[in-house]
Amino acid sequence: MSVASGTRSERPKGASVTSDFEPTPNASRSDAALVVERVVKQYDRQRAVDGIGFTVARGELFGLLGPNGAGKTTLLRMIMDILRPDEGEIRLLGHKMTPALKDRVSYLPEERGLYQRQKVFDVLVFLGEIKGLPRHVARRRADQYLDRVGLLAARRKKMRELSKGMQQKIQIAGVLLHEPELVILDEPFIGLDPLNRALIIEVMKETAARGAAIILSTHLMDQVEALCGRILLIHQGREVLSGTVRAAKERFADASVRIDTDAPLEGRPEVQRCTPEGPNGLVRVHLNVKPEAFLATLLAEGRAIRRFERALPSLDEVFINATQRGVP
Amino acid sequence: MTKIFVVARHEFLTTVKRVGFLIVTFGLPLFILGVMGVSVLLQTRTMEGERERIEHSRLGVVDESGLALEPFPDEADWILYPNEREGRTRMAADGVHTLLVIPSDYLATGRVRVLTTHRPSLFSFDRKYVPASFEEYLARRILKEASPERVTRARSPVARADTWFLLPDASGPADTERPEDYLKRLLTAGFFFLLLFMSTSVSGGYLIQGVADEKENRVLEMVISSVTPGQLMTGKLIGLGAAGLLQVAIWSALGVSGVIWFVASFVINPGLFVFCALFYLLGYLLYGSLLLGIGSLGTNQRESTQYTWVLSVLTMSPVFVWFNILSEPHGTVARVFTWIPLTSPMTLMARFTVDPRGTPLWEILCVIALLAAATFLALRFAAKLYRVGLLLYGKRPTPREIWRWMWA
Repeated sequence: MSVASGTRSERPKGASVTSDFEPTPNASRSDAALVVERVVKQYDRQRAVDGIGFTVARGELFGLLGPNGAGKTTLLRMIMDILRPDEGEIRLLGHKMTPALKDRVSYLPEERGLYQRQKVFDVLVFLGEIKGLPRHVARRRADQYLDRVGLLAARRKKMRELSKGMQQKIQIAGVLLHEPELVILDEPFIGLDPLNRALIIEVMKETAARGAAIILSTHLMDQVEALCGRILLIHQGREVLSGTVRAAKERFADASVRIDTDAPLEGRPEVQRCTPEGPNGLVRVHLNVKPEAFLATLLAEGRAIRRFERALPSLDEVFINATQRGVP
Repeated sequence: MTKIFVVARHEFLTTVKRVGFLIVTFGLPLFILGVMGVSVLLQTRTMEGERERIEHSRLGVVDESGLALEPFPDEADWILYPNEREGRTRMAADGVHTLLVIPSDYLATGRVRVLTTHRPSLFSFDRKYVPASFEEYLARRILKEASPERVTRARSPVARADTWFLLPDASGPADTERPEDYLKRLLTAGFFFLLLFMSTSVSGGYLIQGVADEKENRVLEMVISSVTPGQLMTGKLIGLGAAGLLQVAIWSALGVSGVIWFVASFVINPGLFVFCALFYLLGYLLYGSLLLGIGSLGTNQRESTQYTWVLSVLTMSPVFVWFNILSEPHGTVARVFTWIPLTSPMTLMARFTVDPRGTPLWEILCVIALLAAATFLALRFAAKLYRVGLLLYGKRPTPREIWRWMWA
């Protein structure tokens, strides 16, 4: 199944669209948590979002990536019906957005804050109530989620008395306490230390495990690698790359390998350059020839080869290459 | 409706729990009452002291009028001097503080000359320094053969005038109404006029502050992913309007007369009460929604206030011509203000109160329809501006952009 679709008249310089790496897990379009079809948003003469389409399955953790100004926030705002698309269609949980549907969806915007002069508990109860929770349930959940993010002791404190990181965790608790079926998180890790980041990742995994779809928009590629099965990379409002993380990496893999061998590698005509990786003799080698040909040569020479594998780029490298040079 | 109620309750409770709200609601009127009370008490005591001194201190009299004022009554502590020069020479030695010179043309002019050592306070500059007992005595001397009743009547020829106001009716003899009934109507209109003026001022401040706070706290995007901008705006209008009303009600209650005024307004004339309440509601919704819509375009409270000050001045402008509207309820000023939706609630309440029969029914119905339509459109446009304005952080919109958003 195609995970990315879109019609477009022109693309960013050097960029091409690639998709269909792997089918969308567990999703048909009818029961997907989110279906975005060829949405367009134009401000004056500039297209902030230009024909982007993708689906997200229930229970899936989906990464939305892109450099600053790529159109991610505009896209997320359109999904939440805060902005209206000029073209295209968005369906959440099988329906177009309605006021009632907002109760089943949650959004942590990048531009966010909380009522600074109010108490933590009151803020959470209010956030729960405007998501349709009865007051007594909102009160109970507020305590549950405060406990989950380790801030139960701060329930009677005013927001302004808390650190930025603590406020961040309360925002995330506020987004999750009505147990939405689709959660959109725009840069949720900003301001969190590694310990709290790990806690939030755990909470996100629990949320996905109970069947909620999560769209994660972030610049922290290691978090995307740790959490997301699939990604969509956009640049200048257009889709650049989509599919599973592994497929994206393979797409950008060059002729480099990781080798642990007794053969001297420096100075060989097939070797462009060598980079040691760690103390155990593993070396990353950039080749001038195909890896299969180089392996055959080493074997023919009778060299001992303890490890020989294709070296995939990091997601950071994929991000930089895709947005700067386009998809091969 | 539930979400509107949740937002309204949240806005109301958040506002009334603020320390600032409590200070302004209870502290400010108590402070003003305290300052005024002390001031009035001191002033009253001062003026009372002045009056006492004038009434009971020794009086010198020079009679050039030929009214033959002597002999003075036994109980009177008055001294007659042969002329002003003599009086001015001896008055200090005689313990006289005020010398009254009754000139020869007194009967024709009624003027007397007063020479006194007393000094007035700021609020008693028009004091005559003539003791009431001497005025009474003077009247009796003028009407020396008349009975005490005639003297009393001469001093107050019309002590009471039982008055009825005529209500002209083209189809028959004019009806009448008592001035008290007219006054009651004025009180009802005055009550709603003040209520509209004060609560829109107070609630308007809260509305602007609320929007600015949410924008500065960056909380709005999270909220409008849960409620529609229309629900958020309506909830704010209700919640903050209620907070403003509560504050005005507490101020009224602290003045006690406000509560009596309110109850009396309803008991005396429930029809007029409902009429005024309808205009109050429409007026508040129109002003409040425009305030929120336009105020949301500012990036902070200062900018929001700058954008909305014209709106506030326009809404409150009937206050500046209030007396003109009351004295000429069907004059040009009153009619013009009637047909401007922002000023029509205050103006029509006043016109209808002063002269209910003179305000044609068609005009009232048309103004209500116009006001309702304007309120509907204001809510609609304001919701659109609000939707866009909420997401404006640090960017000032151009008039062209605002116009486009209104019609988007």
